[in-house]
Amino acid sequence: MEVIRMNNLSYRYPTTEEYCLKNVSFSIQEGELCAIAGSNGCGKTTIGNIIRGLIPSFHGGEIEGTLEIFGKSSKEISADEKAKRIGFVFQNPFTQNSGIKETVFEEIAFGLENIGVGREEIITRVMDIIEMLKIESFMYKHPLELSGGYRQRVALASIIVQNPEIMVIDEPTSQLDPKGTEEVFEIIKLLNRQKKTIVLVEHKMELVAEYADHIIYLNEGTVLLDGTAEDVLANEILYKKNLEMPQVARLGFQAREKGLMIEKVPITMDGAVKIFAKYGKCVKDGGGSHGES
Amino acid sequence: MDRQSVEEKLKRQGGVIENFCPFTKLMLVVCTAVLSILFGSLIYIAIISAVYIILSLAAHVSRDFLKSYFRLFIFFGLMLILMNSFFQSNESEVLFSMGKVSIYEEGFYRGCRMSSIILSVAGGLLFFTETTPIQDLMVMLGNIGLSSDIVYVVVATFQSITELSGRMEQILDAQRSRGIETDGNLIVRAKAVLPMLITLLLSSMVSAEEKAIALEARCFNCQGTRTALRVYKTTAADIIAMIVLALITGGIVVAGFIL
Ligand SMILES: Nc1ncnc2c1ncn2[C@@H]1O[C@H](COP(=O)(O)OP(=O)(O)OP(=O)(O)O)[C@@H](O)[C@H]1O
Ligand SMILES: [Mg+2]
Repeated sequence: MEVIRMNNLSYRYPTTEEYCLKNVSFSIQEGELCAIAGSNGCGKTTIGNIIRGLIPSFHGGEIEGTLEIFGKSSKEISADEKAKRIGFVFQNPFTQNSGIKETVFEEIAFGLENIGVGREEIITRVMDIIEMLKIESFMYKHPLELSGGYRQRVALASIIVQNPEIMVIDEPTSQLDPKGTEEVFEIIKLLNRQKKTIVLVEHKMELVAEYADHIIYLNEGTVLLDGTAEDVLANEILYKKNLEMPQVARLGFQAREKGLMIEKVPITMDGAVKIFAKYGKCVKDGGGSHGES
Repeated sequence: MDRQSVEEKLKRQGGVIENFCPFTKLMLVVCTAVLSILFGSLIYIAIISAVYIILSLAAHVSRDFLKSYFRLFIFFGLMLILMNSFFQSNESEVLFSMGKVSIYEEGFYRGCRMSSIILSVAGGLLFFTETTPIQDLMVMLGNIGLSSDIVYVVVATFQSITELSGRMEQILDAQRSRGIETDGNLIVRAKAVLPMLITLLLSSMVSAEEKAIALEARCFNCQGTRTALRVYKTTAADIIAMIVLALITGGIVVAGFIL
């Protein structure tokens, strides 16, 4: 079932002349982990903000085209309904907290208090989320004393506990170290397994390749590619136009250029190992692609 | 993690005194204020100081409380008495004189009264803030029917002051370790602090927009009734404390007028 459909959408911020999204159309299915990918400034965050409803209500600007969510026009969905049904987590770990709670447990409960969930149910739900995301070890810590990685996990927990049908997650790990990144993506993977619809705004192609079911690849405000992770990231256009793609995919294309006829271009490390393993002997003998790896 | 331990954590930690509900603590401030206005004197100051010291000890906040109370005592309490005593223009009886300096009776008593009021109210509020977690304050403000927006602003302001002063300390430490003078007279300090303050304010302005979005994502702007995870009820101890306070205050007032 289709949960999000964007049709010929164009948008410009109030402070700019130029449209930063031009005729964008795509649809996202229920239960899908859909990545909005592309290089810096191509409009990923803007799309996330439009789906979440922060554009135009919060940022203003001019918008053309249509957006349908849950089969309704986005305009017909009230702000309250959006807040409840579309979760939102963004980059900065340090601004995403209520700022008024003294333990992680209560921080996670904050959203449920705001929508009037009964006390007993709040406790049950928060306990479940803490267990699910494995954050017991710091559940009674002060939210403002946590490191960025922990804070981002708390931010995710705080939204997940509200049980939104769609989660828009905008570069959740851009300020985290590799360990923090891995822990956050473990959570995202878990959500994906539970068939939650996730819109992941992300420019790190390695992460996108590993986790996304569906990728919408933007370039300068238009949709360049739209399809499965393999279709998109192993697409020659990216290589030819020198756009961002996973390192191993680039390596694959370079290997082909050097005459190594691999049957397909890998997009993840594991995939690359499998594909190149077949040429194991060749590499040992000092084959062409040795220098690139 | 079981439900019982969670419930236990959500209860107020600490002993009877610091766990008094905010209203009880505010009543303490009001009672001492009333008494100080009526009976402010040197003896009153001694008694109220003793009371606060004992309370802070009982509430396990004596270290921070006494530090601040001591400053209050020196800079306001003592100063008020001295200023009033020396600079009394009216012709009144000299209480004590040493060479050219004389202490006038009227001024001395007035100074003691003013000092009593200041120490009572400020000391009481100090005790209130030292022993009241922001959470309590929030629940209390909500209970008296303030809208959630206002409660949020008040509580977040308290929190951010704590956060800001924490960050300020860090920056001051960093500056000190780089050899920038941060101690000394007012101008030296201002020079060290001002640029930092501006940076802090700017950075908090930038994060205000994100904060608004973060709150929106947590349904803070949603209509409808809210619930609270922490429920603080006025306990029997509170009621007893309030009655005792009322009785003592009333008793002293009545006794004061009869005698
Ligand atoms: N508030 C704003 N006002 C005006 N222009 C903006 C605003 N936010 C973004 N833009 C511009 O819109 C374009 C798209 O920005 P957007 O933030 O959506 O890109 P992005 O793909 O998320 O980039 P990044 O990878 O850096 O996060 C950029 O050219 C940017 O400069
Ligand atoms: Mg972005």
